[in-house]
Amino acid sequence: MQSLSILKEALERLEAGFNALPELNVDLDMDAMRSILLNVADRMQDNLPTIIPCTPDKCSNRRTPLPGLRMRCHSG
Amino acid sequence: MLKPPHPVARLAYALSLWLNPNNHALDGGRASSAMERESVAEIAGMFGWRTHLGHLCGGGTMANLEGLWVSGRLNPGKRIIASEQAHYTHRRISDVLQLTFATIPCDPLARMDVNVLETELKRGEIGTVVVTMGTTATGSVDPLPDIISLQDKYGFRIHADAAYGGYFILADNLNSMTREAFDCLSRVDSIAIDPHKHGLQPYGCGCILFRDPRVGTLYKHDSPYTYFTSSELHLGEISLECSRAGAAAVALWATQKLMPLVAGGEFAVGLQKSRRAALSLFEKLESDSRFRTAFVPELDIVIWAPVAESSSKTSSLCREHFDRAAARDLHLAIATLPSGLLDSHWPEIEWDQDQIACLRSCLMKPEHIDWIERIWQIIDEVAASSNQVS
Repeated sequence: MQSLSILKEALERLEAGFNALPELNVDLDMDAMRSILLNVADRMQDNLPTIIPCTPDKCSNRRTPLPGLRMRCHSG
Repeated sequence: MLKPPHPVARLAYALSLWLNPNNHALDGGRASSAMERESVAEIAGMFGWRTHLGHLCGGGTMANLEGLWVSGRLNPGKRIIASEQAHYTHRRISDVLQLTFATIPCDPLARMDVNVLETELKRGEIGTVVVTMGTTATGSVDPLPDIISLQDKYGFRIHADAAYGGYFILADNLNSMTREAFDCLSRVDSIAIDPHKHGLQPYGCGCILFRDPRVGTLYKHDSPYTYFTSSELHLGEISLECSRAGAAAVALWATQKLMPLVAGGEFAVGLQKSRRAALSLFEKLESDSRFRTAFVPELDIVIWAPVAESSSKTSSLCREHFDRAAARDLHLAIATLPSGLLDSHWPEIEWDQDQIACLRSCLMKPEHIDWIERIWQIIDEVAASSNQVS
């Protein structure tokens, strides 16, 4: 998360290179965007960052899969 | 052509990179695969398909490759046909797939000439006709209703290359001829569309759709390395690419949630603005004696040339205008077109070479409509300062 502060600084540097261009004013519905991005964050919690080794007896307690998706452990 | 991704797409893409999902298999992208299936179903729904087989891919080239690969598998040994103004990728893809490829000349509107197509169909051995829904050079839309009539008569697959123009199906300000073509899109066999063009996505987001989900059997393969955690369909089982960015699906999902693909919605209004901008620029050029125009824009691409006595001098002048406009921060493009496409429009020109360079502008940002006067001011300044003789 700390790296985001560097991104902000770098973005400002990038945009400075285009200062001569006309201002781009786009109306953004920030509340709607926030709601959608939080929804994305919730959904992405069902994404495994790496394959997690599991055993059949523990597999069912691991997490609730998305509707329509069935978890299957490596041995199953 | 560059269109900035929507901020929500940028943010969703970046957010997903904290996990770096891979949509090849559910193992690497379970949530992002679900989001891909939902997003792709919405795109298929935009074309009127309730059932489909489809997925995201790296871009239009990959989407078209899969479309023609399926065509070749279903019609082995038969030819692929596209117009002379179809994207060059089709010839190259056919070469990669070892499919025979041929082109059909265009009519004066830069669309596939259906009379020549029918002559070719009578010769036989045509497996697939590639119908371009918005050519890259001029934005022309092939006459799909006529080609579907020929399909009924001769039998062949239709692959729609809607990479550039597909989203314009949502626009309410197309001319009647173009509207009729888009209204027929649900009847084609496969569609390539690029969310990374008009779909407000970062580059690396194409999409291939098939009307008949049974073509999925052609992709059947086994992988000893993947597909561990679910017996459900992994997207890698229905695509030629293996690892690919789940982030692209997450960004697309977020964008379509913010701006659903519906007629009259915010997304559609943006496309309509682009088209209005193109028509506005075309009208200014057409009414100015210093310029020649040819095709009334069907989508949001405008083609023109400064007046000169020959095709070689016109080409030279176009390059001069291109450079002078760029120096003023107006970045145009150059489209090199065959003389046969324009000689009926510009009969007064001495055609001393086979091709002619024209100026081209894709007014693909909704904001272009607000910038038209400034764009025109620069075009006017450039013409006034060049060596042009009107």
